[in-house]
Amino acid sequence: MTNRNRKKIATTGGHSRRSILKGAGGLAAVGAASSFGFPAIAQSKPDQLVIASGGGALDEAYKAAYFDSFTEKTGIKIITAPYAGLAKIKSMIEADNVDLDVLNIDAAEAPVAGNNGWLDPIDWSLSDRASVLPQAAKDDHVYAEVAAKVMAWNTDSFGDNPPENWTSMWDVEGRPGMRSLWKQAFQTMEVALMGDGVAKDAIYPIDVDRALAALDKIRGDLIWWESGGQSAQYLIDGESDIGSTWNGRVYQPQVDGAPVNYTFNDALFVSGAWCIVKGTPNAMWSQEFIAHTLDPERQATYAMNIPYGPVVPAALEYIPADRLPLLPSSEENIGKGVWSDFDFWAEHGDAVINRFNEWLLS
Amino acid sequence: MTWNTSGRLARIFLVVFTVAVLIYLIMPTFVIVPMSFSSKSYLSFPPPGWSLQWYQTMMERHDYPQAFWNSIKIGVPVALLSTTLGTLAALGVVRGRFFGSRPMSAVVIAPLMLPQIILAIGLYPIMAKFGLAGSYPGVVIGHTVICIPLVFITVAASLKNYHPAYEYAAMTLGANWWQTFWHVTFPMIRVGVIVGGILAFTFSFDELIIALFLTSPETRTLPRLLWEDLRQYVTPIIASATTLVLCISFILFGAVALLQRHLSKATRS
Amino acid sequence: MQGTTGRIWSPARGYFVILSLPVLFLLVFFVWPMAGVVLRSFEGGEGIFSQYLTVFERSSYIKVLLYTLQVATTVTVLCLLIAYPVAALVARLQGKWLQIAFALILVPFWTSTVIRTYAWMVLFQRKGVINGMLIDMGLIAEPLRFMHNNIGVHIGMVHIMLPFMLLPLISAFRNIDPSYMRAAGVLGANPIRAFWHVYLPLSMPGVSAGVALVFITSLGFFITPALLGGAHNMMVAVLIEQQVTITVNWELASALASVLLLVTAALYIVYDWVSRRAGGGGVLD
Repeated sequence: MTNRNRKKIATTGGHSRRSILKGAGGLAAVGAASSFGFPAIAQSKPDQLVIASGGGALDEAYKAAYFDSFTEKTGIKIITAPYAGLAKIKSMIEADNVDLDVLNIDAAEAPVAGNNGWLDPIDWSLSDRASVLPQAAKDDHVYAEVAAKVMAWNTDSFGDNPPENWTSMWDVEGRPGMRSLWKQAFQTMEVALMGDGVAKDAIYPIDVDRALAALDKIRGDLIWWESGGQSAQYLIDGESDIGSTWNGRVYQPQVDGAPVNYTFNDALFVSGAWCIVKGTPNAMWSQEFIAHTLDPERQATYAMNIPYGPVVPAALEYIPADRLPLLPSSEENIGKGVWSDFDFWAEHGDAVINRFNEWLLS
Repeated sequence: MTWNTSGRLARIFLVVFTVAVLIYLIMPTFVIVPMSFSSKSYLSFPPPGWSLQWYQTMMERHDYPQAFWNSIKIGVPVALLSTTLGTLAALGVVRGRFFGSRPMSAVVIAPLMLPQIILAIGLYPIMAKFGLAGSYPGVVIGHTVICIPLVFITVAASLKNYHPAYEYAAMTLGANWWQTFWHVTFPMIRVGVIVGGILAFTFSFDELIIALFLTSPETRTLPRLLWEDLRQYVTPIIASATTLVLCISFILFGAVALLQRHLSKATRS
Repeated sequence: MQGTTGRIWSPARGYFVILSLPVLFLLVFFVWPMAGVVLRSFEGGEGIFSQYLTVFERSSYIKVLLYTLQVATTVTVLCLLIAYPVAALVARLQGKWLQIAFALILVPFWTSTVIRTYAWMVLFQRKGVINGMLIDMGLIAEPLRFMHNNIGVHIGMVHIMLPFMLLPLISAFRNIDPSYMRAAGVLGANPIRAFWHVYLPLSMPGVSAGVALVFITSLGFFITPALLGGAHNMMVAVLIEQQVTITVNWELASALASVLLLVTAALYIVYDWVSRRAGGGGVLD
């Protein structure tokens, strides 16, 4: 437990982009400090909680919505640690050297971590489980937001004739041009099935043969991206005319005038997940933190800072009408897409990834 | 063709080729530096408009200067430690020639070829046992393991460039080991040692995976910060950070060059 | 000098002591951790070799392993062919020009590999700078594909590895006395013979060092081939990463890494033997 109780605290994150959104951020921060009764006897109060997360813009938004208000309310500081993937969690647990309290990991990783017994169950007595989207509230983790794998395109290529959904992307004759997809089985198989005409609620369990056959149809015009930044870059630069990306990656460039657009039709909903590492001495305060994030007003603040939707539908009431079309979980958008089935991947991931790799190399 | 004309032709070709290769080496910089002055929030080249906003953002975020400093604080001890250990290893293997020195050298070189994630998951439990996981010495040791081969290979090459007779002569004349090393061996391998040190520092400066595994939550290194930003979306801030690092290294390089000239003049006069 | 009659210094024993320090360090911080990894590769299945069976059963793994070795080889050869003449010239420079050349060679080191890769993307895209220039000059009508294939992988990887070849070569060349070449010329050897019989053998230590550095480092490459390559350009590090971080099957990842270690060790021994036979001295001795 080498890192606990250190005095020095890393400064997290910038303040620049947030200034525009301050008006909305303000409303959630007030009023929280007074109204909380803690069972303070159960566990001594730590100076800090260590939260592992991906950093960057996500961390800035978490900080604005949850970290700062939690510190204000409880006096416990939030330290963000680099999230080095499930590998580091496994290392720490095997070595009995857990120096993390709360994890913000990919929702696809959470069932893997849960199946390995690395997570504590969520204490649902602290918050109203019914207030959370049913898909987002699990026994040992809670989704942190609703993000979307969307179809996006370069508007110079398809400006006056925007594609509708993934089947447009598979229309090689009607829409000539380069296509771009993620070089991972995960999410790409789902996209391929929808492109092949499978209804969005019928894509699971994944028909691997059909998905690969669908990919074969566009193989000649297909390029692959490896990181989220790259997916947006290809579309902005016209390296790809149409392809998959996450809505948060193309949102800001589009606002700033880049020639990209995207649709939530047939979107695949994905997310980060909050969970608590088994064995942390600060389990109780970690539970408090997770309950803290499920407050509707704070969820709204989060969605004002980054274009990902709240997992608590009541939060939508606090969000201005002009923001709602950008959020995957707004009332108008949530019905357009489908949730990624993370349990399917936790169970069949290795086999499907291997099939996909073999297809790539064939 | 005579020795002279063919020599001249070869030399012209050589100069043109060298200039072309040097341009290739700095080519990405021609893209990165202009993009750092972009007025847009996404990378595009040539930039649609100019501004200093990304430098301003970088300074306001002040995790960038801090991360830069953290990377230096890891890189310098890594360079020193791996240069020392790598040079010792090269001396032992190249000059020693005793039974087992060759297999040992394979062990010295092996860390370089593995994907760093393997070294990271292997090292973590050991570091945890010593209480070094998530500590500053922990990541320095982790990087040193990969950087020793870089020094070892370059120093071994310079040791093979001259005959050990020089050292035997010095020893026969009564110099002890340290005197022999300092007055005979080191001047001969100095370039190799410096090259190894440079390779080690820059390797550590750019390393992400082991740093992710072994640094503490508070220690953000530059590659980690760039990685965090790249995961989300790519803004010109990564170009600004890179440009700044380049400027600093050029200033340092120029200062060293000037200092050397100054010193050599001083010793001559 | 003092103590001319002092103890007789035994070189072998002295060098053994010298070597023990780095070897001890690596025993604790490399061999021990790797022993853990190798041990793990025998776990987690039915029978101790089940992970290895999986590695060899999956056709993709063998393909990727072979591709990795092939890329490491071509990158090494390209680096050597490009770096040899450049290093020969740079090694002859003096003063200011030497410093400038050195500064330019070191520039890539100060830019993170990921960002350099993004810069290549910007340059080499379909609508990128290079294609734009070529089309404007009327040299081509359709954009060329520099990326999503082997060309992109090699442009990016050679760029990263070139300084690793240049620096040891320059350091070796600076130790070659130019008067040797002049002597060969005076004695009537033509430039090619002089190069072949004088310069090349003297530069062999630098060559074998550069080759070893570039080849070995290339094997672990990850980001650049992934960002600049296409469907086929998959390195073994990508597979290992998938098994370590996504499916968390460390037993299989360990088996893959052990195979990589074994193959490289075998190649290394062959290379060392060949380069000693070739007269340049092995990589090690």
